[in-house]
Amino acid sequence: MASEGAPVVKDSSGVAQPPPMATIEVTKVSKWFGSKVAVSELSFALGPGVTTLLGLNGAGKTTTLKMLTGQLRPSRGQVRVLGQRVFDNPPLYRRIGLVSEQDGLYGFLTAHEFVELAARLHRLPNPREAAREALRTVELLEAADRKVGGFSKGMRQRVKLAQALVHDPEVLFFDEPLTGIDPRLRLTLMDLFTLLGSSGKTVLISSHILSEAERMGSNVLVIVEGKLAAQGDFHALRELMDDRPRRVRLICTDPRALAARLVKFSGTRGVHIDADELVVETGDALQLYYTVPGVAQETGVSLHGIESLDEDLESVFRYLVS
Amino acid sequence: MQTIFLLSLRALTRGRRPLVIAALLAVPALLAVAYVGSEAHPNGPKFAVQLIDLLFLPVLLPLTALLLATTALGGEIEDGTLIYLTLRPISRLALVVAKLLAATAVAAALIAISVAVTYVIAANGSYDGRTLGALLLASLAGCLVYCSLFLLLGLLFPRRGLIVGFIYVLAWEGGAAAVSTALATLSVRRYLLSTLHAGLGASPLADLQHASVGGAVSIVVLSAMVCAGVAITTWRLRQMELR
Repeated sequence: MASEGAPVVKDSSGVAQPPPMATIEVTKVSKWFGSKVAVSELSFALGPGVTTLLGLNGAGKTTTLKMLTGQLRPSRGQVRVLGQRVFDNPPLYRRIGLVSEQDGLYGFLTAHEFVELAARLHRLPNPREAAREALRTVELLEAADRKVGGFSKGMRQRVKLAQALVHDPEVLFFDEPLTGIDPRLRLTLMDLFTLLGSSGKTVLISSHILSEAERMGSNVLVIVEGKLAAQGDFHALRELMDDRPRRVRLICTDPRALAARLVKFSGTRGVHIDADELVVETGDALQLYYTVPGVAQETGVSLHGIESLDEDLESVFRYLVS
Repeated sequence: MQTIFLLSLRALTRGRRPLVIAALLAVPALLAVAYVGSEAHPNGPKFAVQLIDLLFLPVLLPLTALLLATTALGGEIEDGTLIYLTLRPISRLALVVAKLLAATAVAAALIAISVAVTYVIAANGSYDGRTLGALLLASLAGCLVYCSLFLLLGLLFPRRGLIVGFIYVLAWEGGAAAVSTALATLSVRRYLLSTLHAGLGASPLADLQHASVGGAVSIVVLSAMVCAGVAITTWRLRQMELR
């Protein structure tokens, strides 16, 4: 399910495929603040796994996450998580974890006390041990007895992650969870998110860092100006963008000679030469892949590599928001 | 509820706020010392009750409750920490009650110490337990009622709650209600005075009170105020969006 006009991944019969078990359902949701429309007619459904919510600043990502976690009530439409309405539904919050974008913490509590507070409010049988385990997961155990008020940005993010994970929720919402975290731990946490997704949890991560999103999983939701621009596997989304030329890099011994032959093909939209590299813009990448080896052989050019430049998430995102 | 109560106690008793309140509540005790130290101090207990009547109940008690209760929820909104309480499987009523009890506990402890010290100093050896008990009972009731009202105020006006409450305390409870019997009907102060009056019983000090309703009626009205405060705060919290 996606907003009208937004690209969605479909199966071979052309039918849009809802997740096999939708844990998050957003149906024609709009949210406005006074005269400002933050989110407009948003519809999508997500199942278990990691999904990255992408969008530029002000696109409506945080508003969407706040509606999904019961912080905001939709102005119109319906939001359901695990089959239940979210706003003013405390029993549901036992099954949800949230890392908020807000920086506010109880500065007078230690990291352990802060996470244990969450564990107690979730009525876990052993809150102290659960808090220790969550802190261990985010590699903050050594700072467990330090006041969170003195924490760096990265440590604050980690303690927020720990309180979101402490009760082992089924659905997790992370709003820019890796902000301020050092590169090494960033990789560890991205792997953790992937692991959470592959263990059957639904993980929705808001991010504007595309390389992170790409590492954590290929499923994306793209919001542009409050509307759903695309949903699905970004590789498959790229396939849907038939009207955009693909850029293919050819590494060879004589790029000029190869370019001179390739410009004669009907699918070729343009060529760019840089040292021993030739970048071809083509409307038919598949044809190019099949043709290039033969052409290279005919022209006596040694071909050392062929690489698509548009298969990454950044290319998809750039296309969608442009 | 116990977890939120203990968390709130820690939050309310840290920083400079309790020190400011303690300094404020030291004023009556200092006045009592000055009274006892003066050459003419014919009736210490009477002076103590007058201080309660004119200074504690209309000004100091509501100000103490205001400083504590408006931050109990309003401070959480301002600091962005309320989501760590509301996005938990906890009923809003339990959250509000825990916050109210924490604010009341801190306010009552500070007020009780100040009232007791002021009375003991002013009485200068001639104090009686019943009078002290009545003063403490009225103060405790006042803490509970004002905290329930100011808890709501903090939720409605997280940033300006303190100013709005300050104006209310000085203009209404300490001003209009003190000069007009009709306006006093709509004040908390009137029912606290009546409670105090009932608590003092046959004591000659009871004549000092301008109580016009019975003790039982006062208790009922004050209880209704607390219930209304809790109910409206709970309702508001359930409806509230966290932007």
